[in-house]
Amino acid sequence: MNENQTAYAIRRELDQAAESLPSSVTERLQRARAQSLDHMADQPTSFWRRSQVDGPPMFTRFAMTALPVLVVTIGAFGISQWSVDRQTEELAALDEAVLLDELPLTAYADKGFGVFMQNTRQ
Amino acid sequence: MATRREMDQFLASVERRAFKQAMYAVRDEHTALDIVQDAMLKLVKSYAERPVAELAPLFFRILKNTTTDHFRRQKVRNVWTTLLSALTPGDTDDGDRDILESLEPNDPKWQDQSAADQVDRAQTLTIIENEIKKLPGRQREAFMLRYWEELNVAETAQSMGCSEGSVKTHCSRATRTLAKALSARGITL
Repeated sequence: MNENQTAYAIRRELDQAAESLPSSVTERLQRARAQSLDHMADQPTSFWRRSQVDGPPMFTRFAMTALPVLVVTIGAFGISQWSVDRQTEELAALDEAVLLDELPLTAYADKGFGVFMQNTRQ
Repeated sequence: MATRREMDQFLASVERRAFKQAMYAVRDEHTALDIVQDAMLKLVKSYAERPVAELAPLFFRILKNTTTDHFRRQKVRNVWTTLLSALTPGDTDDGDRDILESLEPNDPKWQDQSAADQVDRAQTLTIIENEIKKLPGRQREAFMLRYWEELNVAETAQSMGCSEGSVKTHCSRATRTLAKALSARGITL
């Protein structure tokens, strides 16, 4: 008898064993099957319906947590950058005024002007 | 996607064999039933949208994983049981059990056989099942899926999470081991 023949002969015996299960076992298996199928009837099939039943998937939950943090970070960076740009523009305007003789060079010797320049740079 | 009817037919076709396979692994009827029930539920919850042809490899993979989970939980439970058993008295034997309650009615399929034939057949089956239980887990799994569930090599490999070559090796070794063991006991099939 080759391997396949041996295996299928054993299978016949195992089939007998499966057919001869006690009723207590077969009834419990039937109940388990029915309970599983009842669950299948309630199970939503589409992604969005599943999200409503089970909650959003993990990557959505992660995105919902990370997104506000990202927005705040970008906003803070943007405001900081805008402030720097504004100061740069003011300094550029002063330099332009000096070059165009609108602001006398002696203004730099003035103490009040020096304080103003210091505050602007800060 | 499998319809409810198709899922019902599939589960009905595999439930008995799944129970027997779980029994060979855990050797306890109630635990085996729990494992099969869990596997059915997991299949329906997670894979109901798959086509019917894919359900068999998926189901037996779930069955194997659920069985593995059982052994892991049992290992943890045994640690606590061992620790606590030193503090509790031993169990007394229950003498109220009626032996007649454990007798099963005669299977009608076998009623046309003589009593001697029935005993021979039952003994042969017991020996076969014991030899199957003795097989290493992977060999038993490969043998059951290939020859009892009739999955092809690719499906068996998918279910077991191994290569097709490994499936063939496991099947060959399992069959040879069983043939040798049965021959040694004088059983011809």
